[in-house]
Amino acid sequence: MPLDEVEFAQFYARHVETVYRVCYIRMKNQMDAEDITQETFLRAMQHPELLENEAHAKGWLIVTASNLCKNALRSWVRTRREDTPAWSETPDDSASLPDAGESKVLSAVMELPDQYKTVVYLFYYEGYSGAEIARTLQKKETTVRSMLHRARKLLYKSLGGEQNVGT
Amino acid sequence: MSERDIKPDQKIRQALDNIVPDEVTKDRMYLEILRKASLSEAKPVKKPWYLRWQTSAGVCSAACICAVIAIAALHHQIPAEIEGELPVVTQPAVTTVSEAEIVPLKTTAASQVTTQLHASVTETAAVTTEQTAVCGLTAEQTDTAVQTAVKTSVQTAAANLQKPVVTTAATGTAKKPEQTTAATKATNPAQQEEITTIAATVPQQTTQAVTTTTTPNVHIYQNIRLYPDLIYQDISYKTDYVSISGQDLTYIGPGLTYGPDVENTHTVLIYSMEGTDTAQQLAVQYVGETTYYLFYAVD
Repeated sequence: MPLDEVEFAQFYARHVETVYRVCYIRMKNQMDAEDITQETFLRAMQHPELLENEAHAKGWLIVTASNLCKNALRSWVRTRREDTPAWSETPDDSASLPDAGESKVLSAVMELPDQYKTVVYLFYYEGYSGAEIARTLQKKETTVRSMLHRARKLLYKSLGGEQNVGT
Repeated sequence: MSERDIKPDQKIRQALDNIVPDEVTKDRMYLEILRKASLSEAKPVKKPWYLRWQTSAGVCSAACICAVIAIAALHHQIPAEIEGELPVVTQPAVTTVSEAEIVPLKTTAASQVTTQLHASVTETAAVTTEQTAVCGLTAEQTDTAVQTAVKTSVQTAAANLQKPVVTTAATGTAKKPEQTTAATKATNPAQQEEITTIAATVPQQTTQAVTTTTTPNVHIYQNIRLYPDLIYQDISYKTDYVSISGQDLTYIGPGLTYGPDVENTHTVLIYSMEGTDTAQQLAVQYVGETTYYLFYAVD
């Protein structure tokens, strides 16, 4: 079934920020985030059924973007190239610069291991429950809870001992 | 959930809220997505390798087949052309000599006869001449040439063969054409009129004859009964055609017999008989014949 361009434009407008955010958290720079975002929507164009189920589409986009980021991070080219400047050091980053407190939290999130970032994003930003995250990421719920617990500990250390982060 | 617990969640949410592409970036990404999508749609589906090489393989195969057919046709055509141009030699034993090579013929004939004498026990060399040769030679000239050729050949043969049983030199009209195996193969009309054929005649089974200037309606063998007279070393001989044995004969040379009723001559081979004076009696073999005849001197 050919994809309607207007429908896809609306689909893109609804999910581009989510996909971009996931990609940015994982890739830590604007250029790679844009590339992965484009690739994610290109793949979405090949699945017109995503337009009919909004909830499924959102989960599919997040998982696809995460997998593409994971592939990009372990690709040969990226491992051989020089490290891109840190997200906070990029002067022309399109993301609006947060204030000092938000920047500290964002830095702590960015420094989390890659496998925790998506879980933290889905839990704290998208408001998914542990079960929903487990269903979306095709993981066990206990695994998700365990990952969240470890992520909180790391954030606690990074944020200077703020207790009960997100508990 | 206490206020202290909510605060970090909000902080994380507020921090992540700042990660938003601006409108320009959104539009640029969207256009890029559409561009990449159009490129992927315009890109033709890659065919399998056997389909991609199908046309080239077909063309190459057709070219190879055409080349093979052309080579095969050329290979079969060349022998056909050669076959059409060159004569078909069915009897390789025949040697043809043009009339212009009469003098060299003497040696050639001699060598031919010598070779044949080596191979055969009994052998006859027949030399037939045609008086009305195309070359314009008279009968006497032709006979002289043939006589010289026969003399040379017989002498060579005699030297190699210690005891030739029967040797006859005959000149004249045809007598026993059934004994002749002289095969004259005319290669083309120009050569056909100037042919000298050399063949060997063996009385029993093998026959070699030397034929000079063969033209249609030529009598190869002449009637020996018309040539009873012989002059050898200024002595006149005559024969009553009494045949004698071929034993104890020694070849002494060629000669020419003639007759009162004919104008031409017949070539013969002259032998001396053991215990007999050659001034009184000779043994003569007409060329083309196997029989030896007694010639006696005439006062």
